[in-house]
Formats: sequence, C-alpha cells, structure tokens
Amino acid sequence: MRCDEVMRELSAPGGLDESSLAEHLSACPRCMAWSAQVDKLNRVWNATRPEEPSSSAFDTMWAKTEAMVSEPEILPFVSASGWKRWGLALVTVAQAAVILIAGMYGLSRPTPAIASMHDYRVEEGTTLVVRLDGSRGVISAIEVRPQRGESDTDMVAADLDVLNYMESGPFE
Amino acid sequence: MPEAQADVLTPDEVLIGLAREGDRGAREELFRRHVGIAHRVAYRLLGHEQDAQDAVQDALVKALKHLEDFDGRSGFRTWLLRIVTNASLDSGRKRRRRPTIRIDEAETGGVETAIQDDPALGMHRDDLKKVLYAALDRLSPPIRATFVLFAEADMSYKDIAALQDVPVGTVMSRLHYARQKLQSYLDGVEGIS
Repeated sequence: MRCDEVMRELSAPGGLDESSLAEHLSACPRCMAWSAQVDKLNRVWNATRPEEPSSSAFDTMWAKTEAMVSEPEILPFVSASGWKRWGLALVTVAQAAVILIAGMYGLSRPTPAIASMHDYRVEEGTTLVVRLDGSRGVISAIEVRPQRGESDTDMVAADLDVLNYMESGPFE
Repeated sequence: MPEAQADVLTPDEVLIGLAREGDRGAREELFRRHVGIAHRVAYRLLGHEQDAQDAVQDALVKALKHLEDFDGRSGFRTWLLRIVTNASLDSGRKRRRRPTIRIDEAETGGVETAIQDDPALGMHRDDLKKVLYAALDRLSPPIRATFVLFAEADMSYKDIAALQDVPVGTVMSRLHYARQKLQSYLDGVEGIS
C-alpha cells in the first residue's frame, strides 16, 4: 500500500482494507502524522458545530418564507398610450445615445501604460497559470505544482490548485 | 399513535405532491424538516449567522415556489441543498468586499485563550471558529462546498457528485485537496494542540 493511497483513504474513505491500513500506519511515521492531522481537523470541525437558531427564529423565518411563497407573482406590465408612449421612446433613445457616446469615448482613450514589467523565468516543462487583465497585461502568475515525474494523485492536486487559484479571491 | 409520529413517516415525495397542490401544512412540514441542515450548510459556507439565515430563507423561498422543478431524480434534501449551496455562494460573492478575518489576524488577534471550551484543542471555541473560517475562506467555492456537504451534511460521494454535476472521483479528489489545505492552515496556527 502506497502512502498517497493511505492519505487519500484517510481523507475520503473509499473502502481500503482496514487491517492493511492499520499495518501501514503503524510502520509509517509520515502517514501517522497525516492521520493525526486528520483527527485534529475533525476535532476542530466538531468543536465548532453551528448552533441551531432558536425555534422562535425558525418561526419568524417560516412566517417570512410562507408570505413570500404565497404572494402572487407580479408580472411586468407596461400600459402606455399617447404622449406616455412618446415619453418612453424618448427615454429609450436618450439611453441609447448615452451608451453610444460612452462607447466612442472608451474606444478613443489611449491605452494606459503598463505600470511595471517583470521577467518570468520558467523552467521548460513546468506549467504556469497566468491571469490577464484584458489586453493590459499580466496581473499575476503561479507555477503549478507538481514538477515532472510526480504521481497521478499529485497531478489531480495540481489541477485542483489551478481551480482553487482561479475561483478563490481576492486576487493577489 | 400521536400525530407527530405520523408526520415523521410521511415521505418527502408525498409532502411535495400536497405542497404542489397548495397545501400550506405540507409546505411547513417540508420547511421544518429541512431547515436545520440547510442552516448548518449555509453557516459553514458563509461563517456568519445572519448571512446564513438570509441565504437559507432565499433558498427555501425558491425551492417552495418552484416545487414543480423538482424532478425526483435525487432526494428532496439533495435538491434543496443544491439551492442552499448556490444561494450561500452567491451571498458569499456579494459580500466578498466586506473585510474578512485572515488567518494571521485570527492567530494574533490578542484573544485571550485562557478560557478553553475544549482543553484537548487548547483554544477557545470562538477562536477556533475564527481560524477555521479563515481557512475555509481560502478554499475556492466548489471545493469548500464539497467539503462542507461531506463533513456537515454527511452526504454520500454520489449525492455530492449529483449535486455538483461532477464525477464521484472528482468529489473524492476535492475532499483530499480540501483536507490538505485546511490541515496545513491549522498546522500553521499556534495554540491548537
């Protein structure tokens, strides 16, 4: 049994044989340390269980929920005639004009100068994730682990590193 | 037998059928049956009581208003928790500009740790919460949601996979990844034994 299999089993149990697991743990200080970390996180998780709101808080929430569920859907309905219709048309034309002017102004603006420039030295074969800000340049870049020659498990972790990086914030 | 026991035995699917026909009592039973788990999941995702209650309420209104969208492929609880998760993550994105506690502040915020709710952990419960939510805040929303649904809602890999539209293997990889990250954050905090 490999260490990465044991660690994954402790994180997300998938049915590995318990006696083999125990045998590996007793002989492997690294996996034993991981097991202790798993226990620690579990204890912190359990010690911070959210307290359930009081029954009166749930009653209030139910009353609001029921009121919102029961209220009839209000469909947008515009009734305009005569001068009102002309007024609506004028507002629409004015909005379109403002958007057009704003667009033309945006196109005519000079592109801001790049505030700073850095050289990136990247070893051949490594994966680099670069975040771009439109056409203005690089906001940030990270080198994705692992390096070449790592296991499939590490490659999955590398993919998740990218996902975590791209979807968590604030951007650095 | 008492009525309460009869209510417990009424399957969700029956209540949904009644609620779709406008039965207020069935709607209320669905609400009360699932609001607790919905709240726990929302709280774990947001780390803030009022935000959690708001997200739960939004989600329950959406769910109860659109019961016709429930197709029965998953259980009602799974379907509802998908809506709760989305509502919570939306709420989290909206409030992202609000200052959040960073892990280093949580460590050195001058909080007295002499009073310990759990001596085995060596830290006051409120301090543990600050550290844990600072750590959770550094996980991306889908990975955080995977971990919360597994650890707080006791959902199976299969149900989480269905809820998140990903393969079961991805759920397991995300759980392992989340643990790696959370455990390494906790390891960097002094005072947790």
